[in-house]
Amino acid sequence: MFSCLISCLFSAIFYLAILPASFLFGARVLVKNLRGKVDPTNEIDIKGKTVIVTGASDGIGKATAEEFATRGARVILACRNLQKAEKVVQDIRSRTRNGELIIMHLDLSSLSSVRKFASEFIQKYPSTLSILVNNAGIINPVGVQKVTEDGFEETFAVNHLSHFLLTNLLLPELKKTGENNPTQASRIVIVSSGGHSWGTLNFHDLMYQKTPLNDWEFISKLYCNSKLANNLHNLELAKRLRSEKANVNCYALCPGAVDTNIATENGEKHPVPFWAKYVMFPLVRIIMGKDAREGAQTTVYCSLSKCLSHHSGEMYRNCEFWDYSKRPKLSEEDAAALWEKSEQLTGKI
Amino acid sequence: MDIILAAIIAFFVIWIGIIFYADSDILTFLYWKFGKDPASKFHGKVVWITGASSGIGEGLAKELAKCTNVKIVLSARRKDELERVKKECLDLNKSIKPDSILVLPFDMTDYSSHKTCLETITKKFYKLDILVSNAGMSQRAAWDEIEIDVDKKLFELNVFSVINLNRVVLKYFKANGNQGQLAVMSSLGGKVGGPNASSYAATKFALHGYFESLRNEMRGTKIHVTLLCPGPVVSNIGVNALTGAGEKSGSSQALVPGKKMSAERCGELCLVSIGNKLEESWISNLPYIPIVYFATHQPFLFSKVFGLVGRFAIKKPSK
Repeated sequence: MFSCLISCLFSAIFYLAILPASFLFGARVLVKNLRGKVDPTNEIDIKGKTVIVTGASDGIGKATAEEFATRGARVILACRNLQKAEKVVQDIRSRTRNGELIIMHLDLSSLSSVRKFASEFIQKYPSTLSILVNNAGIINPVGVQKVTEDGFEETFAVNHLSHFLLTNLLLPELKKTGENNPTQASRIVIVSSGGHSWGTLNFHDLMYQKTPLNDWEFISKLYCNSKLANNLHNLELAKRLRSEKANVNCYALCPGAVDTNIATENGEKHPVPFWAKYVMFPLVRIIMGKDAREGAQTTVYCSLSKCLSHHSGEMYRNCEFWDYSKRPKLSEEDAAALWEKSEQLTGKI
Repeated sequence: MDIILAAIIAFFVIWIGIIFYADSDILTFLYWKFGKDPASKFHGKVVWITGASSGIGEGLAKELAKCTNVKIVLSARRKDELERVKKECLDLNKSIKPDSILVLPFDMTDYSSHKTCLETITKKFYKLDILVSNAGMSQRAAWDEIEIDVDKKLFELNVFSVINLNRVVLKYFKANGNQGQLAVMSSLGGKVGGPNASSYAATKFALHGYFESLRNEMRGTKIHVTLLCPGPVVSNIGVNALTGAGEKSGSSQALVPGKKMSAERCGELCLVSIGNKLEESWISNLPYIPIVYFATHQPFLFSKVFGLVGRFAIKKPSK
């Protein structure tokens, strides 16, 4: 009797727990090893140079800021929550004494805050900006639609419009640094997402203010659209920079499935479906999930790798160029149209 | 919820621990550790042991001799060895009367003598309670290098003579109150077919077939069938084992690695099993008990694991 009982227990433990777990973790190791890596021996030198990272108070932004600080840069942490940013600085300092960490207030849900930040920065640190990392982003839970003080839908405003305005305001600075350093182009890095491939842009109602939002089950359309906007911005920006012969390059990237706090704010209203929460998300997390530091690697790659010194306007993932065959083609017309529209919207106030 | 989980895990760990610690299967271990002294189970019983002149049979007889008021019948072919065993049993336990132990030599393969032997016993001791069919022979050779006559010889002794004797005794049991116990010496080789002893494995598997059928026929009666499956035990079985051509191998080296169990310890555990009327007992030193548990309860996994490591564990038999 005992041996049969034990055998049942053993079978249950082995076949239902140990074996599946081994497969999952084996897959995780495989996936991790197949990714590209940052090559610290082939990077541009940013010692003493100035870098802005938006959304540096948590997640990928925080990890990115730390990477830049370790390499001796002057990092501007542009965040809306200054207390959180203070804690981040303390935390980074516990691990590295290098670089300079400066906190400046930036609330991307308000265009006036963007303008204030830009003018303050230009006043304090003129002609120094080498790299702008548009990293900040939000995900609102499915079905939740918020409006900013400027009257825009929140996800679109924070993820795209405010960064669009910020980039335009800081472009003269970036161009100046580019001119002063002919061998080293200034860079604009846009943290987008693989979710862009599910986004669509309805130019008659970009932010679902008139048409009803029939959102999806487990990821918000609004987020995907905003990320598509990021990519189109990258495309058009590169085109314009090239035609102006500016020594500024821009890059978009997908950080991967990163475990951060982006989605834990206000997530109780529309519960995630059972199968997603207990099957799909855990599977994705175990096999492909990254922590914030791993998530920041592609940002660091795009910001610093010498391999990309003469590229602009492309998209990257896992520290490698993201093959066109594996993502939908971006429309140049849409990119131009979005630029016009964004200029209209951000020029209003 | 957490308590239930902890209990399950504790249960699991304890029993797995026992499997790796004990030198027998779990049930036999528990009966040995926590059960009543087997001596009390054999009080007033008449026990007939075949193959008692050496090895496990001798060990069993000596352990039995330590019990009080038990009558033992020792059988084998060699009368002088049986007399020696009887003398040693009497030395072990001064309270046994010499005529409580009957030396009854006969040849297992002489079928006509089975009935006469039983009559001799019942005339002397007025009854028979337990038959321990222990006499047997082994065989070592690569599978395809065995002459068919060797297989026939092995089956003759290990299977057919045993069956015949047990039938004679069973008829007696049925005619005398439908009670009694038949204990049969099988082997762990009768649970898992080990390499290089195929005929031996076959004979022991045959015993399982015969006696499991019998047990099922005897459900509801007071006739018990006990199958004893020891692992490697110190005895002459290796020296007398038949090679492929039918000669004695002369080598006492075990087929499998590991420390052989002493015949006395094997006898002791066999008594625990027989005394408590267990259906089947596995008796062996490490690592064979865990291996046989694994092989019989998780055949798929065992097959995969053995497939990977087995080739290193198998020794080729010497010609």
